[in-house]
Amino acid sequence: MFIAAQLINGISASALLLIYSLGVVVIMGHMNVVNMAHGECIMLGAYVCYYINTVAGAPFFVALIMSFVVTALFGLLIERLVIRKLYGKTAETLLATYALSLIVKQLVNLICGSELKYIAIPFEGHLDIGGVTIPYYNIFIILFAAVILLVTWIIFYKTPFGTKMRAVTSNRPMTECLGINAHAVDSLTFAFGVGLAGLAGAVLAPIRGVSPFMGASYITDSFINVCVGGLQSMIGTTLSSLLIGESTSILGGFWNEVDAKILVFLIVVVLIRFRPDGLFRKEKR
Amino acid sequence: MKSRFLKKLLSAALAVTTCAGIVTGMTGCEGGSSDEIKIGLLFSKTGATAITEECMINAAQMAIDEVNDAGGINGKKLTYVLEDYATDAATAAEKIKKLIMQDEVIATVGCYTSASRIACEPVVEDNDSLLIYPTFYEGEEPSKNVVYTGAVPNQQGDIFVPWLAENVGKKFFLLGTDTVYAQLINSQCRASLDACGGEVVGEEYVPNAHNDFSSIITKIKEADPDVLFVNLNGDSGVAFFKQYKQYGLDASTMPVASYLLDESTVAALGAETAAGHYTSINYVSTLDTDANKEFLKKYHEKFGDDAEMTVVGEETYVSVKLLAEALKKTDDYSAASIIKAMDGITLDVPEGQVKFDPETNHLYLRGRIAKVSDEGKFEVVYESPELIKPDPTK
Amino acid sequence: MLERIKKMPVNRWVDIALFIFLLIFPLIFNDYRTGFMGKTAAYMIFALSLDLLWGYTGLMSFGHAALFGLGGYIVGLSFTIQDGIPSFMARMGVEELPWFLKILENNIVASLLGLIIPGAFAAFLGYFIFSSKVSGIFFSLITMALAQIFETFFANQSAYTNGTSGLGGLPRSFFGIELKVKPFYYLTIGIVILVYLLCLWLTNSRFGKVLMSVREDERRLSFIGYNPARFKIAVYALSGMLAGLSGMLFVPFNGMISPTELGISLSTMVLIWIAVGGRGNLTGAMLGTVLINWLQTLLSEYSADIWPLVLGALILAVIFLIPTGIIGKLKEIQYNIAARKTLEKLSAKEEENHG
Repeated sequence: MFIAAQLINGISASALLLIYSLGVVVIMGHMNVVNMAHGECIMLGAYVCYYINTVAGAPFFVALIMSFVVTALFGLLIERLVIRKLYGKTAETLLATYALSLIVKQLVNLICGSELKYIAIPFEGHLDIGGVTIPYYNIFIILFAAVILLVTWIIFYKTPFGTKMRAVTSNRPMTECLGINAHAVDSLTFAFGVGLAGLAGAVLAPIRGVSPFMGASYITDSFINVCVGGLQSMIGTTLSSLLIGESTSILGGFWNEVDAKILVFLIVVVLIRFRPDGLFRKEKR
Repeated sequence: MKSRFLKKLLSAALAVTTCAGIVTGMTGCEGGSSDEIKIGLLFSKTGATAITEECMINAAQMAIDEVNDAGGINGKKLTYVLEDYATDAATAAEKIKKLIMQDEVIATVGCYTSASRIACEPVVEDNDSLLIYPTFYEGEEPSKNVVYTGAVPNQQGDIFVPWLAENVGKKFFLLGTDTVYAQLINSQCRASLDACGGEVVGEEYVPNAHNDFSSIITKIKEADPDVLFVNLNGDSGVAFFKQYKQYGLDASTMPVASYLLDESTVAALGAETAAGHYTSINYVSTLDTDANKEFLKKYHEKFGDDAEMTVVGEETYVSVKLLAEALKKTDDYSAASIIKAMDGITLDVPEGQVKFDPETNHLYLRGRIAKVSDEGKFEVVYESPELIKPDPTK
Repeated sequence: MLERIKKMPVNRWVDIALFIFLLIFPLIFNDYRTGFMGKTAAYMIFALSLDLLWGYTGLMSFGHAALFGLGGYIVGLSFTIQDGIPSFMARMGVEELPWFLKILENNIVASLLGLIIPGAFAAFLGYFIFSSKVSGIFFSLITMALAQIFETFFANQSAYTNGTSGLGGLPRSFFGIELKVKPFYYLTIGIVILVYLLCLWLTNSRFGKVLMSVREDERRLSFIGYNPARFKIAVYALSGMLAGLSGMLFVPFNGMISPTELGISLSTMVLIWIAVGGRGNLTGAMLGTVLINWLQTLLSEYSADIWPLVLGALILAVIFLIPTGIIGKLKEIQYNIAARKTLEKLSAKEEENHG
């Protein structure tokens, strides 16, 4: 029973990991941009959710949608102002996005205050199946992860925009020759990735509270996760989320959380070392 | 053209920095003027514990204002320099050095985390300065340059654990952030539990800023304790309480007992989630005394109705008041003579009466146990009949 | 000779100015500021070590602080156990020093280990990483993960490291002799200059040229018969040793070491110092370190709230206005002036010829 419970916990942990990693798949995988402000994009989404859900009293789903929209707009803005000029320069993008993360974090801290903000959990209660407890919200998280994975996949592989985007990723000059506005595609892709991060923030907010510094805890986990999964691969990232989420849960269940975290990270480092090409496909921009 | 402009800009920036540096560096050589007494305040305005420490800064400023409104220290004005240590121990050590050597403060009130206190102690000892530490903590061999105004375990756990064992249940599950504080608190809890016939059915630690407790909660359910003894820092604590409720755990059958559950955590959690849990501390903002009501009224007038008063805020207030009283009794501002002047001081503060203990540099405090009511207010369910003598090395 | 001095690149002048500034610093400022600048001097070695790795070889490590903190923890532990078992260990139930701490009781052994362990660790890691095809961003991410692991691990081993509180009350001790701030400061500056000269010699040697070609085009290098991996491992090991050295010098000034000194935030900060100063010329790393730390300490005294905003704005300004950093820009200006002069000379000659 204990194992079953931990396995199910592992699935919801994996789902959360997937939700906050998907934005990285889009931005790091498809645009080759390492967005050090990813954590702050998550944080912004959480704040939008707080203001719309708790302060304005609108339903949680409205807050979800709005946090996607608002953070995506923010993404559009920083792509235009900062990222656009730095494509292909890895070191510069890293530092510039780190600078953005510093500024955003501090501005939010000054404007909204540093105290933890409260968002009620939208689905109270839990399900009991033979002694295993599953909170409704965890079920929601798992379903939600599946839905945004599917939606993202459809956008990428089944829409004209997705085709354009993948074309820009794989052969930029050729795409431009075909009359596609690569700049516009870049902007939208980046905004979409940031929007996904915002959405993740909104989903995370109810179970942990919202603070300006909350982003830091997600950044390494999501980068490493996407690395293991294969930069561009949504399926790969889904699998690696499952792998990391489950192993952390199981190891944490039988051992302790700190050692579990260290061990999983070590395993992941070894994995990246031995499967740099196999699990990942890396295409030059 | 562009490059020339940039060059100018950069050299200007460089020049300004250097000049500013030299000026600031030089001003440190002068001492404060003779009709004022300068103290340091060292708290986090940024970083993970800034949320908690905001109340401490406010309370310190309010206490300083009160001292000055009442005529200052024998006619001298009490002034302060505030430094931010950003919840980082190394920064704390650096900033207290700055306060002592650069600003030449006679004493510093500050530090919240144990790590920052431990980092500052050698600095105040080396420079023979004074630190007043206003936070309840795990206890230690007292430093001769530090005055501790917060509660130590024998003023908290020694009444809390037996009370819980008697009134709630004897099976405890210990959980904490992976810090020295939580580990020591838990080992003390274990010891007093042994003494009163209880047992520990599980002990777990999580990394800093951990916020997924699903697998720990599953373990807790497996162990089925009567009391969860939880000391999680900041965000982690809030995440834990919310997930606790999510998994159908109930405060009436398995309440959480935590020293870190204070007014601001309750506000972040909402009354519904926080109701039914316990804390043990020498002060809660709902204390029904005139002194406390007066204190809170002033505080809310100054910092707004939403500002929460917590135990560390009150202890900071007490710290400044204690320091001011001592300064009135001495003209020599060395650490030893200020501490000597504290001997025999009894203060009437919002929490009631407190007394300085010259043997340990701590305070005699009243132990209290409080439960969160359904309205999200702390209700005192037990109060020690006497002030408890501090025993920090226990 | 005079001609050689005249032709000296601008950054060497900056180096000299910087060292003069550091040498006269204690004469102008009090002990507190001197102690602070001593800490910054230790950081300068740290920045130099990363400049070799990132600036010259193009390996952007996001976890270099792990090596810095490793050196720091080794001397920190050595200081802590000088008078038997420290109180925090006793409280955690340690009754006898384990073998890995016993060997640190000797100051000289501890100092050597503070160099060797980070170096050996870096060499091992380098061997592990560079013998595969891992490169570019993957290297950054692996090192980032390692910094995170180190931070968590050192925070977790409370019985020996005092957890998140770290080791405190560490003396300003050089091989067991306690020094005052100023002597220790000058000692540190001496070591900084030595390290700088070592790096200067190294980067101008054949080894340095190979490193730069690793950065520029690794494949071509292997065509002409070099094994890039071997050079990368060598530079990583050397960089690790220097990082360990800087950690060892940092601890006596700082008086303590805690897990944050091993983590991602310091790792990122050192990248910023180098980026602002300009990478791949040694000077930039040192200048950036001094400038940013000095600015940070002054601004945070003025107002704690604005520092992150100023730093963020500064980074963006550097990236967009002077992407090669302050020194890179200065070198460019010097080059342009020289080029203009040569052109003027040429055209003057031409006129003469025509005339």
